[in-house]
Amino acid sequence: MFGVLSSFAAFTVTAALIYLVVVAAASLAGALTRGGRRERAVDAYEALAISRFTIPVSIIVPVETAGSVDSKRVSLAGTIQALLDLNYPELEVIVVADRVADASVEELKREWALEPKELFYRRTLPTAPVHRIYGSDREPRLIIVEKAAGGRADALNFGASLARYRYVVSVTPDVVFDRNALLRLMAPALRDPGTVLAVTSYVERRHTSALPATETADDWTAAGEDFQRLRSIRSWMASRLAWHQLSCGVPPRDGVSAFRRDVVLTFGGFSLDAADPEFDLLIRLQTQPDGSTGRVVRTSEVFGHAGALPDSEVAAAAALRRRALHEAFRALSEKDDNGNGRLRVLMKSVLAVELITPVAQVFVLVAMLVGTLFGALDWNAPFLALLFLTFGYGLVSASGLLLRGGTPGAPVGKDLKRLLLRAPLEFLVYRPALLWARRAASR
Amino acid sequence: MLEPILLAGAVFAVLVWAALTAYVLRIDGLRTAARELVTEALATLRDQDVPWAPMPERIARVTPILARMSRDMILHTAADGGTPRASAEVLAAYMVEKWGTHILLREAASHRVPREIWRRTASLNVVYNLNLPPTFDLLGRAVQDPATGVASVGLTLLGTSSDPRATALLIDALIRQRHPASRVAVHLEHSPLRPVAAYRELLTNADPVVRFWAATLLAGCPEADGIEHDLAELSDDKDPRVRKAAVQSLSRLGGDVAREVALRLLRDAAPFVRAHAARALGELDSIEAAAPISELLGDSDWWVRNAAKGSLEALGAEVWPVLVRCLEHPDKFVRNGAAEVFQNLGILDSLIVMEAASDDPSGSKIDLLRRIAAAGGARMTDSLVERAGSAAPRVRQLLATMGFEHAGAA
Repeated sequence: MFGVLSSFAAFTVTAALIYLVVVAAASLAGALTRGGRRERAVDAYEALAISRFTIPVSIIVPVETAGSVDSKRVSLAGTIQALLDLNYPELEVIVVADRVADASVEELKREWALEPKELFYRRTLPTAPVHRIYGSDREPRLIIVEKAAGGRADALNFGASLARYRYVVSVTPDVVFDRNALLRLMAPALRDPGTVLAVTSYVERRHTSALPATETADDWTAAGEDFQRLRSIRSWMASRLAWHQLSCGVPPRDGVSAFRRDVVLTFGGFSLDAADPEFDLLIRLQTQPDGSTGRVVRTSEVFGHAGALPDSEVAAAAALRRRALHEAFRALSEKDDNGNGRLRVLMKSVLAVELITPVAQVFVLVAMLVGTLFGALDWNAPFLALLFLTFGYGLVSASGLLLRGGTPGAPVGKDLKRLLLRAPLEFLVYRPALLWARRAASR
Repeated sequence: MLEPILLAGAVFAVLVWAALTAYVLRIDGLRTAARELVTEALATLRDQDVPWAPMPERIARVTPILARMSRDMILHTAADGGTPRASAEVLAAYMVEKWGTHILLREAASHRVPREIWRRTASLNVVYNLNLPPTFDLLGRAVQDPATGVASVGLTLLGTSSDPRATALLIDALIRQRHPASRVAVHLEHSPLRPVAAYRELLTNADPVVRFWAATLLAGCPEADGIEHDLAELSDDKDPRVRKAAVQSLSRLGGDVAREVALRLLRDAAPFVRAHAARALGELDSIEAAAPISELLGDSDWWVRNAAKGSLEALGAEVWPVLVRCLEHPDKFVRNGAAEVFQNLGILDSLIVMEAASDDPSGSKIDLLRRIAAAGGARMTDSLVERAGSAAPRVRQLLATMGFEHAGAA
């Protein structure tokens, strides 16, 4: 009996190892074939930036609960100013705040001389009750809405209901971007507005130079920031390679997406039950029934960057991402056959890889430990497995850095060297630290 | 059995990681060196006397640096939008001197795989700046290329040219629609040339999309004689998109014809045409149209109602007699809309603040306030009280005397 179990364990561990090797090899091959390429055509935004034919955009800024705008990390007023300063011909900014008394929202009202106004709008999507809508004579493009708490999806749905323009974009207050960010995001939609249902771009988590160094040294000093940046880059690489090979995929961990408003309404808005409402809608849009016209585009462009998070928030975000992946996979498995069969299978494969990879890593390590404890394996087996996983992780991160290199904002010089050298430590040090942070937060 | 696999796997992972790390650092080093060379070359070209020197001398000054750069790097720098025009010209001239024009022309003509797109578009930029004879042939091929990136660069370059061949190619691209017509129209709009005759010809094109864009682009040609009559004819087009474009362009041109067309299209069957007709009348400052616009406050379509509100607001406070009539309308949407326009024009605030401050409020004004407040609902009066600031207690008191006891209580 023990022999059968032992053989079975050896077989599954070998299968898991082969799977991990294949994932690492695919990342490496993708990075080597596409890394460092000059993909961007020498295209100018000048004409689009001033054209009256450029499709206007409604930008929704959800401010969910008090404290969601951490004034140490971000300034809501600064983000709104940056949005209004975007190099884009026509846009409106709709701030949807769940809590009435959030200090940052109050500051915004004062700064922009916002006054309560009653607006009669079409309640296209059901949302939590609205308390007050504020407008400003000084800046007619800015609207602030105060409503009962209902979560991010509810805020986005309200923004989509109120939006006047054809595309809606959701931007969280912690994203820092340059003036051409919206033009870069919208470029695919502007090139082909008839078929582009949504566009997704990438936001990189990294140390924001605007903050004093001491501010970022809370719980994991600069190493934590580096590890977050590596996670961010790996996620971008996975999304980019999958999209390139399969013409579909999941968005990166952090990103800014633009949705065609009519499509949001047709799909019943952002799901209130989804762990990540934008992720959920992007998957639903990609797996709509056969014969539907339209596509979701993933741009290679970087929208901007966001500051590194404390470990507890990173762990919570990772858990949320896992939940979103699970939900999407379950929904695709349960869906009847009127969906787009080929795309559904491809999407399930992409989701499965994201879900299985961390499980396979943990499984290999645990199996080695158990095998050693039961005397089935030599004492050095767990160390070898750890070495394999550690450098395998480092290899995938290095592939991400190769692919990221040459694109705007890529790490260079000392930054790059540090990231490359720290990459293998992520599996060994940072993942246990996140696990610890999560446990500490749940206690 | 597992140990050998693990050992081999671990050693392999370490070696591949080390090799890849070294490779990434090497690539980064090469990139940094190349960037430094580009910076040095551009700095040399900006040196005090260099910009005014003859071209051969400028090339000679920068040749020692360019000799250390790859052709791709020079091409990329010459085509980059951030490179000053004078420096880009020197780099292009150096490329021609060293490698001749045939490579540039070949690269600008086609690409075999997607990774060569950047080289083709960069070469197109350089060829365009050098103004080589086959430039427009190459740009013509580029705008019809299925690769969006190539077509996009072709359109951008044609849009900046003041050569009539450029607008002819753009108009051809608009008709063929290999790429979205809106994309082509952006560049026609910004072209230094205004091909009015060609646009007029397109107004009778069989394709409604072409007629739509021709009508839209004609708005940018206000100097052309009689275009308002051409556009007025299009307001009867069977395609609603064309009618919408006609009224939109007419509103930019102004005049009585525009007013007449917009008034007529307020009753169009397509909601978006009605919406644009309403907006057009607002832009035309057509006060006499306030009554027919106000009828759209009760339109079956939300966008039309919103457009009607926006248009009435654009017409300003003079529309108040029309709005007063709307306050008694049997349709709730019309009453709501009228109250919102009263609020957004500031009439409601002025009235209530003045009457609240008065010891002897006017009966007719109080009646008007009561009707606006009733049409706007409790939330409107709550907002009103909040806006009143220090006058809020008196405003609340006045509203209470009008039967709105709970106003601003939240």
